Amino acid sequence: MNDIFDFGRFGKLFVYECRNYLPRYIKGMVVFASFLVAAWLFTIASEYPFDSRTNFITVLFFFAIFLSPYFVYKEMNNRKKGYFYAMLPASTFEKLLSMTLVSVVVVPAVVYLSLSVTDVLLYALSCAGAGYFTGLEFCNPFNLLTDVDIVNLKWNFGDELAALFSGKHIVLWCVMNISVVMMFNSIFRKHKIIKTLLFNMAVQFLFQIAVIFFAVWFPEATERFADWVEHFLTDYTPGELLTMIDNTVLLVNTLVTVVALTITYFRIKRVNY
Amino acid sequence: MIEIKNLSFAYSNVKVLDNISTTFEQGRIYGLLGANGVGKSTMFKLLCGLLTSKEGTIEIDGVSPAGRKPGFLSKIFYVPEDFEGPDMSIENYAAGVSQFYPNYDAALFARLLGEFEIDVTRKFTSLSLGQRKRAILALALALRTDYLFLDEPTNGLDIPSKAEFRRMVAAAMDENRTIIISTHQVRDVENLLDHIMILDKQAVLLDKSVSDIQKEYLFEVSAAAPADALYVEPGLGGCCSISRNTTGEESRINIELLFNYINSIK
Repeated sequence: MNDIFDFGRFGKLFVYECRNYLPRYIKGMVVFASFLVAAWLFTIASEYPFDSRTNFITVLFFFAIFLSPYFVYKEMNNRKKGYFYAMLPASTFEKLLSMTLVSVVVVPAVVYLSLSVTDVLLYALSCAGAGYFTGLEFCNPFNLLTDVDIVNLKWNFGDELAALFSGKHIVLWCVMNISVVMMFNSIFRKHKIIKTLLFNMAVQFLFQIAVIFFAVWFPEATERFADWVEHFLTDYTPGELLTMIDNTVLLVNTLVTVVALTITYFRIKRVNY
Repeated sequence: MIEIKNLSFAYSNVKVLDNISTTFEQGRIYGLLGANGVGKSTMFKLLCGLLTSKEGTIEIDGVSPAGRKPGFLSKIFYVPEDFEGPDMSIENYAAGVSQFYPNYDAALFARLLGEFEIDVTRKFTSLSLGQRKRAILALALALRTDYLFLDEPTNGLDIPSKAEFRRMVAAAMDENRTIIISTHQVRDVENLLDHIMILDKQAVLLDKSVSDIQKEYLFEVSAAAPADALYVEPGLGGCCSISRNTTGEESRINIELLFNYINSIK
């Protein structure tokens, strides 16, 4: 028996998880869809045009897919219930792969479908013009960015920069975020969402404090760094800078994803119950 | 075969098991006894790889449980004392899980559930503790794993279910299986066991087969305690005593008395 990967065993595990874990989350999708319905009803009641509906659905969509590991795999490290997951006769790699596929492919597909169906139904109901069908538009989170026009902050890159934040970047950004959530889900046993938020806030706070202390204690070095950044921005053409940003974003997202999945792997393998 | 060598385990700074060495042979039903907190449940978790120890080794058929390898996991099943069950129906859970166990007997599972009067369509979370226990015990026996670890299996079971449980375990036993039962309700399982192990934090106090215990000790209930009694307790019919078996007479083991005797001389 191959103790690392076996297609047959992986297939059984994947089907088992889709059959037994996903229904819990599909129930949760009813809640997300109800937010959309509530917003639509508010639109009708207030006779206020629901112009930001695409953005609203975009936010709902990404909330739903990013939070999914917390709900679908909430019991994986629970001291009383989680040992069933640990003792399931599949390898750690198969469990990680199945968890990743469910979280990155299956859940987003289910979420997308449920929000689309809700939206179509609302469109069908809103003949009086209270709403409109958003269709495929909401799958690009950077619609939010272009709407507030932050792409024109420094250089007037406009569409070029917007184009940068699409396709592979969106997919990788989603995979990275879901991987990070999977990692925190495997690390924290209780109050997972709150602990994740607090952890991230603490890291950001410490980083900012570190930057402030660095600037206060090493003013010359800080000045040299500022000069370096200024030269860096003027030494390259906008096209070159865009390519560098493109590569850097891809590299950082990939690195974070790999680190998060590696930590999740070892948590699945070694977590005590 | 399960081989434990110099096993120690501690939760933070609280030592639970200290330098324990023992073996569990195939084809036997072991009774793992011990006072609260001596580490019986911890021992089960170590055997399943749910906990890992820094000191000592455990090998089950030559494999360390800590690796949680699929080949190993498909040979064992563990029913914990405080079984809550996953948030899914019994039939869905059994259908999903059983695929990973090559010796699973679906007909046996259906029969056991029928005898335990459990509705397979119900979710674990909607059942009482006793019903959940019966459902998971039925599955545990039907998976037909080589090693089965049952932690307080009769807790929460009603009187008919306890008798049914004994009958089922006896029927499920064969020469390739090892069943280890940890319990304080020794009367519920005393007719099942063919090996008794009494565990203490510091050592294995007793590790003998039932036949060896019967050869070594004589268990009696008499109006007055025998003069050569090793240990005596007042009982309903008089005095319950343990003496050295010098006559070769075979007596029925009183596990509770044996446990108290062994603990009194440790």
